[in-house]
Amino acid sequence: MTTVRALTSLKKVTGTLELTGNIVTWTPSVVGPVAPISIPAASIENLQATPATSAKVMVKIFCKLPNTAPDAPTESFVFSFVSPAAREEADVMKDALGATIAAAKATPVTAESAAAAAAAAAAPSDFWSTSKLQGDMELQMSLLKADPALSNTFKEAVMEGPITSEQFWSTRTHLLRAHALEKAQQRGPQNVLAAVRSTTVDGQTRISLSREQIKEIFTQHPLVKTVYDENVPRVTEDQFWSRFFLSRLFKKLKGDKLLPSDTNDNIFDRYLTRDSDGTERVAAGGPKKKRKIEHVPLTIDLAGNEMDVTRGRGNAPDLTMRPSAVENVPIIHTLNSLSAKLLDLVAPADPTRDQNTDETYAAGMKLADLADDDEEERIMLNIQDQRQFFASTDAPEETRFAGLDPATVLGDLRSQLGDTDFSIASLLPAADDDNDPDDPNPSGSFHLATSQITATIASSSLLSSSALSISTLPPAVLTSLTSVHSTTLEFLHHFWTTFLSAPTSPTPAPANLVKLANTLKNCKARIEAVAKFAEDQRAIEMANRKKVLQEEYKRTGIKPRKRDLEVGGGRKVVEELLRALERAVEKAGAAWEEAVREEAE
Amino acid sequence: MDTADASHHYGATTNEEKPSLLVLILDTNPFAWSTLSSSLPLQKALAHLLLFLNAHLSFSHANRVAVIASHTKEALFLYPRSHATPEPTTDPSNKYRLFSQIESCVQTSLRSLLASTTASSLAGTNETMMAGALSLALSYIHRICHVDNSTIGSTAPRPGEIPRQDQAAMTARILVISVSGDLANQYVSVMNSIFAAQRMRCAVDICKIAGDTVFLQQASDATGGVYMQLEHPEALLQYLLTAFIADPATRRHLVPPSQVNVDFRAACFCHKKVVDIGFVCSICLSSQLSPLLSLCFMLFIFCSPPPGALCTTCNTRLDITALGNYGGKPAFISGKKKKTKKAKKALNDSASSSMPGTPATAT
Repeated sequence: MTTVRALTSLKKVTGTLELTGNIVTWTPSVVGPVAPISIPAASIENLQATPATSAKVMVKIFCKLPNTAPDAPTESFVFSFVSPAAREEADVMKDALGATIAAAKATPVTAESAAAAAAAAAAPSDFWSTSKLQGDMELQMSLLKADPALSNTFKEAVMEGPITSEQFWSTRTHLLRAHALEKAQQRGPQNVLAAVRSTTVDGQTRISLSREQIKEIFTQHPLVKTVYDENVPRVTEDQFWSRFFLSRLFKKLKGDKLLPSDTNDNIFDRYLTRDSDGTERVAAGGPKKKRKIEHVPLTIDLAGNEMDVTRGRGNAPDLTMRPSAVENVPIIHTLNSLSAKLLDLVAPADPTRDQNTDETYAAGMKLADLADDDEEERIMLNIQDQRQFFASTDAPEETRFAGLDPATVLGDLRSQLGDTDFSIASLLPAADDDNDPDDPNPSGSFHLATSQITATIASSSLLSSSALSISTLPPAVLTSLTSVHSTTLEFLHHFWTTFLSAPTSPTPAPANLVKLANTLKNCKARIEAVAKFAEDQRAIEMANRKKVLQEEYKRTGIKPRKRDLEVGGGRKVVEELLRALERAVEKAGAAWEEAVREEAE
Repeated sequence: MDTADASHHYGATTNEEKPSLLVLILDTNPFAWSTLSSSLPLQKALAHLLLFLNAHLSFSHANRVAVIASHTKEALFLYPRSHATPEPTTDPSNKYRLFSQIESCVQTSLRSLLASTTASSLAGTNETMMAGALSLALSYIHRICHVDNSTIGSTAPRPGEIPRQDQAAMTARILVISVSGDLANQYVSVMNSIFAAQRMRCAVDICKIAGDTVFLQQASDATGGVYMQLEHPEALLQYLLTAFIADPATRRHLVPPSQVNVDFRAACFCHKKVVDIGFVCSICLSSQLSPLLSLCFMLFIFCSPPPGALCTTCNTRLDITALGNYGGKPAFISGKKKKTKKAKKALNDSASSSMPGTPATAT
């Protein structure tokens, strides 16, 4: 499928006109006032273009959109080509459109079916599509409920600020998608009998059972339902359940081991011999009802090659010659059948389960480690010389080494090193080389070197300690600080997006932009408010601390140290943390003011 | 969920002392050493370095060293030599054998390196093969620290997998003694070596005696190494023994004596101007430096889209239309003057109202 693309403007809004297969689409480069347009080629009725001699290059498309009534008037769109190579692009587009329309007219049926096929192909991914997510108010509400920080930003930016809900969500589609996925998942059924817990009150065991639990017990254990049906009118319901939870049947269904000390119950013990789904077992070891599976992939079907598999022991001689009494076997059977039942209750999650199952299992069993590494798909790039970008401007090496003769340089170095190994001890600084260590103003190079190192260590330790200041803020201040920070960033983000891609003159700036600029102005005041809040909090904290310390002093007589009186946080820390943000706000404000001034002139 | 499988105690790192490998890269550019001969002649520098290596070796029996020369046209090992080194003829009886072996080996190989260098081969070159030396160092470290380990029985890391530091038999670091600047020609290879070192978590220390290069500063910054520009080259030993002696395990507890002041603001490559908004080619970056892009701080940034929509580096034709009408100034039609005024008024109002609230920088 070929794609023809051109930069055009429709109703003075710039966008991209694209012809892909049978569908003409036009998407504005700025999300906003004009919605994208999609026209199937079959619905195009006529095509007009400006003559090759005219200065303006425009193509007019007359069409009947498929979703309008048949008697609706024909709509027309005028696309003017605005790129530097407008004429060429327009010609290519015109030819392609003409060919497509002719093809669509000739075979209207196939065009429709193609469109239908395209729609069908798009359908599965449609659920997570951006537009759908952004339109889903319910989903957004539930996400806001789940995330208090986001809800706070939403409140300040959308409900009290100038940002529209669409703008807010347009940058958070990934959050919406994740939330939608999260909501789509649900918990499967559990083993109810194991989940029922008993509590002991006043020496009596109590079990609370909800209606849902009873219902689940009946679905998971049809035998219990049979017992219930056959007995409940005679036995009261309360009594039925209290006896059930003490009975051997309960233990058996739950998968516990039966002990001789377990109490007997004349009702429930009758059902012990029955199969778990309520049918009377004919005899021990009789034909069991098998779980029905429509199709077991051959690759994992153990029964498929049963005759080839020896039963467990391999060729080892059976020493005891007795059937081994494995105590746990009944329990394992119970648990297995219970798990199988639980799995059956769940609808299969993967729709492709029946398709090519054999192949999938076979692929999973392949020894990938032994295969060759995949050939890497690299794109060849012609990297040009980037030397020009890094040539240092200040001290070119050429001048540094200018006037040095290679031969003399080499000779000097060779003679320096000598012919034989030198002893390094003779070249090391002797003790009397340097000044007196007690000299308060040492001038030797070793001392100078040491002072250089200590100075750098001091400066870098200073740098690393200032990062801790955020921990000195009380939690309330920190919350409001983060809130102001995220909200301001939200405003800044939308301001720059709108500002930088706002339509050029003579189209007016969107009213939204004006609002955004004004809100940004208020942000400074908000930052100031947080700083003030932090300062107040600090004052309160200081007063409290002083009081506590004074009481302590009165009680113990130990004078409080000055260090205990110090309280972190306050205006200074807030300003330090928000300095970058403030600069960003100032920058945005300046850009806006300049644009306004230029327009006024 | 990770804690659910109760396997976390297998991953717990033991705090045992690991031996440390030190790879010393010595820039042997003859021109640079010749200009330094008044303050720090090569022989003296070599003596200081050998003493430093001995100090490193004295910390532990298992500590190892390697010395690589980054010469004008090649990079090669000074110690250990690939071919069997002739035993020193006079083995001093009162010296630790390893010390004298290394000393003699490094001196002999350096002498033979200088002897094999001809004056004609030097003419016109002023650079040093730093990228090659770094690559040699990294592959040596990999062999010593990671591959040796895997032969014992643990699984060898698959190609492309990051070797884990805690699986390595040794910790390693690289110390570069740099005397010449300008590595511009080797930009891509030096950067790649730096990223490789970063992945191996191998610190690259830079001891800058002369010259100036941004790349080595960034190398130490990216790998957490020490960068030191010597103010007093003649006291090289003092610098080595105070700033560079600590091994990676010890460094975690120390304040690094690093003087890195890398300019993190983005500057465009075409005019070296600091820009707020830059343009980056989506093609050559994504393939050249990935997957390390997230760690990368050096991008080819330009202050305007390239002419003809062709990337100046990789010649790829870029889709400029994706920019839309970026950069256009928002405009107000003359009929909407009222709105403009209103906006301006609001601007002035808010400006005046926020005036007293402007941050008190005087505090």
